[in-house]
Amino acid sequence: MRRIALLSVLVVALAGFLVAIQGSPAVAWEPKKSIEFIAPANPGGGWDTICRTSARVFKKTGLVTKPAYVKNMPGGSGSVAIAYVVEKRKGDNNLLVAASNSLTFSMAIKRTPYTYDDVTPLAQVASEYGAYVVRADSKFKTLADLVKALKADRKSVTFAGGSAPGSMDHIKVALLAKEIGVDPLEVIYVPYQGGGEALASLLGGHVDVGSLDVSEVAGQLEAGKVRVLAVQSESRLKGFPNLPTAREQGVDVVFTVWRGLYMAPGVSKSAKKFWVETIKKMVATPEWNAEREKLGWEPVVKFGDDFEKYVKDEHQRYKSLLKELGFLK
Amino acid sequence: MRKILTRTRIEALIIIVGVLGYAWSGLSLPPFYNVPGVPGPTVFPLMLAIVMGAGAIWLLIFPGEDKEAPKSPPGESRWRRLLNRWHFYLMWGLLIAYVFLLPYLGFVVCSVALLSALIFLLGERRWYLGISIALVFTMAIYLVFSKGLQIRLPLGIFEGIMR
Amino acid sequence: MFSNLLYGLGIAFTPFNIGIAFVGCLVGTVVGVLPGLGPTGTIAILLPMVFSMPPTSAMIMLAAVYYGAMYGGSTTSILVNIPGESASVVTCIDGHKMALKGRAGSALAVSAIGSFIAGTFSVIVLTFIGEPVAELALRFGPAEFFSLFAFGLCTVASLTGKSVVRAIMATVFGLMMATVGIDLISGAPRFTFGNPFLLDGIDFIVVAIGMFAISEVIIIAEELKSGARGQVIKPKSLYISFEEFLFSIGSILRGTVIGFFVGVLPGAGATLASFLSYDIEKRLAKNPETFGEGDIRGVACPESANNAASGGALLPLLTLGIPGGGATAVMLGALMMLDITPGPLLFQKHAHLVWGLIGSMYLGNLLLLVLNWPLVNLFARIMSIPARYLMPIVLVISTIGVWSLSYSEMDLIIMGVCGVIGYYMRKHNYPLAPVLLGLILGGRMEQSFRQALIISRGSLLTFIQKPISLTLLIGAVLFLALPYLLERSRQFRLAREASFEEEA
Repeated sequence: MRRIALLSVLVVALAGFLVAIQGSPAVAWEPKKSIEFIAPANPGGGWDTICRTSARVFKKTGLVTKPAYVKNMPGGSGSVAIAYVVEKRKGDNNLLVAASNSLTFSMAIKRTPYTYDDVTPLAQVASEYGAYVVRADSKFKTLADLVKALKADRKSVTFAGGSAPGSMDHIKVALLAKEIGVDPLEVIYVPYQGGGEALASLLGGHVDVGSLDVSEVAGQLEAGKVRVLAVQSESRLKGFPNLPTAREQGVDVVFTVWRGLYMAPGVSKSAKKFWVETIKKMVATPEWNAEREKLGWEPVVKFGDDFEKYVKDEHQRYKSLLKELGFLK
Repeated sequence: MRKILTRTRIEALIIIVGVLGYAWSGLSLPPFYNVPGVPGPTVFPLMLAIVMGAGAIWLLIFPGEDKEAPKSPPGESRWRRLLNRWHFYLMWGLLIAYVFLLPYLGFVVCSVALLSALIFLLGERRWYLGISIALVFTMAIYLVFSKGLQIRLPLGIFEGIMR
Repeated sequence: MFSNLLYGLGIAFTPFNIGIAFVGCLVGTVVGVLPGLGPTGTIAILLPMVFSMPPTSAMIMLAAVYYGAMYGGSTTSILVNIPGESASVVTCIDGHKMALKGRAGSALAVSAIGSFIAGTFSVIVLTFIGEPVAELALRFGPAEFFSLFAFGLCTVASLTGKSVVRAIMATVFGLMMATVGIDLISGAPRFTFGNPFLLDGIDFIVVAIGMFAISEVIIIAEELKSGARGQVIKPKSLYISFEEFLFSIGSILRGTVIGFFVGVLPGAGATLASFLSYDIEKRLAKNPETFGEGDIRGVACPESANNAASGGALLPLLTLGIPGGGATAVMLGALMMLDITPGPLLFQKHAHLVWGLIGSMYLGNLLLLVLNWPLVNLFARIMSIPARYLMPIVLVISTIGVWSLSYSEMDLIIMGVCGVIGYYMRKHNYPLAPVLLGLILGGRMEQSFRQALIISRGSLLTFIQKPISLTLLIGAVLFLALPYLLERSRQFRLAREASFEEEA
């Protein structure tokens, strides 16, 4: 008896499955095998998070039915992954690669010979903002205090960040210096291996100001261990409405960290269209937005050609910025 | 008669050449990476090169007791000796070929070939046993790593069939 | 405190959480045993699976994988002389010698017991004095880290083989390899020759597997051919005897304490802990010459140290919200995705999670001991598999470990080159362990040195003005000088005793 019941359930399920396949509307392109994400960094970082979160949301919402894998390919702020994708995976329609401003910096500083012209930029899925952070007991109460100290003696303040000079965390400091008329190359900046180490050094009182992402310090902020002097966003963040921006304190420093995805060169037009549409749908789902809020990311998105134009402009902007700041000859 | 060019001395000379190359390559960085007042990216490599060079020079001057390889019986030519060690060189060839070819030919082909060859070279005479061990373990390792631990192994020429 | 602990144990001892902890320990042991695979990648793979669980269970599982991996790390070191994790390099020295002498069972058992004691100790510290210890860790800035790494480098003195010059050269070779890649402090790509695959430097695992695994296969082949490889001695007992346990308990306890405090420091890690503890153990021993010839203490102390360190690394994560690097960074990411803000308020706002996790770690360590005890027997029998089957298979598995790091051909090629160099070095009296020590410490040592100088505006005095840094530097100097002083005082004493006897 039991066996028959089981069998009939199976038959019904199979029939339903067949109907579902037959009944689905014909799409120009859709993935026929497993999807591969490449996170160009070690597990745990921003790029890894984009990949794993997207993969999870794809699965949860059923936007993509094929299984998705994440492959970590760390090296040179995205240089290794882009070289691999351009050289080895041309025309692979099932491959998505995470990216952010760090990749643009790698291009601008010529760490990689490839640019956005060599790949297929897809979309920006979120953005994030950095902040100038001090210990709660610091003598800098507002951004104005910091500016005053820097103007008085540009070598009196030690900044810390999670990346090498000439890349993101340092540029945020350099922009501040440039804005208030101090030579960016003369400001003291200590690079650390990642935001976590920079934060530890800040908490231990070894450096004065940290140039860190807001999401990195959220826990410390909550505990009252640190104070955010200014966020580098246009207007106050939705997730952290109490934090003042630099702009509202009269120092016009805005720096957006975008998080997005690109594909290999030479992918078919229909595949690109499919992925742009799918990601567009993904960022609108409540599942995605719940994850995004947990991570402290802001809902700023760009797709397809818009995004492509944006990153290509950014590449040019960074090149001139780095020249201006003296990191690039 | 004491030999002047002992093995240790040749070794030391090779190290010195390597160190010079290292130092030259380390010092040829564009100067704009230097931050005034603090040691730049060239300082540490230079220090290392100096210590390494000093070590090599020490070996050059005091090579110590040079243990010669066991003398081959007289009359045996150099070629004869090479021939006697053929399977040793073959193993090196196989291992190097393995790491070079793995990404292109794929895990399964390379590993079956390497395993059966190594098992044979390490003294197994029953070829059927060696090959079956190679086959079974390659498949087992493939399943454990690829399916169980989700490590994507290169499949090379099997790419189309197995995915 | 005790009420918190009871609360945590209550959470941990639900059937589901016990099951989850068990699965985590099992997975951790497996990836620990497989050379090249570490907890970091495994935790990342497990992430999607744990998000369907309640946060506490998810963290219990991830943490179990993490500390479980350290239990298994010693297995390949002991059995086939290939370190499974970076923290098990030192274990090779005495562990494999023990296995060749038919004491594989004792070596495996002592590392399991040591791991258990160390793991439990670190949870106890975490339970009762977590916060003050974490605050202490924050006192370590770049200057202090430099001195610590310099101290660590001095441990090379106890790894020298026959020739001190060669040991120094081996260390410098490791340090040189550490300079490959983008220099963090200046952003300059060094020794990369325009190859993007070298920008992130040479991974430790690639070098370790290359130098140890490839050369081991060739050397075994030679020994089989020439008949130099004697039959592996049949073990008398597959387990540890009570005398052996008593003999090594001191080493276990010292290794535990050293390991824990080094592990707490963000970024210092289990590897440094294992080298340091081995060195200290050898110096304390009455008969240091037995180290390197299969001394059980040479297995007990580094294996306790690396487990205590992995427990210690969880401490800054839980109390401060700062990852100690590698696996704990992934766990930090996992916390965020579970909608838990990692930070100093974790204990107050998410008491359920923190105490549940701590409670589960008492259980987890016990589970690991129970799980590993029968495995000791099983693994010790691996020694009786003929090398002609065992070594090729181990080599293939190790190669996958290297491949899984970043799926790059460059890694495989470097592994091959390291194999050739490693073989030559082993044949010509260069010790291998110092290369790895240099490679591990080199990058961080140079970084902290230059970070400290940027902060001090170029003044070298910073290293002796800070008390912790000064203490460590004095310790390092003493460490280098002490053996000679001790030797002289011993000779002096012997001479005096001899003269006494003459008088009598």
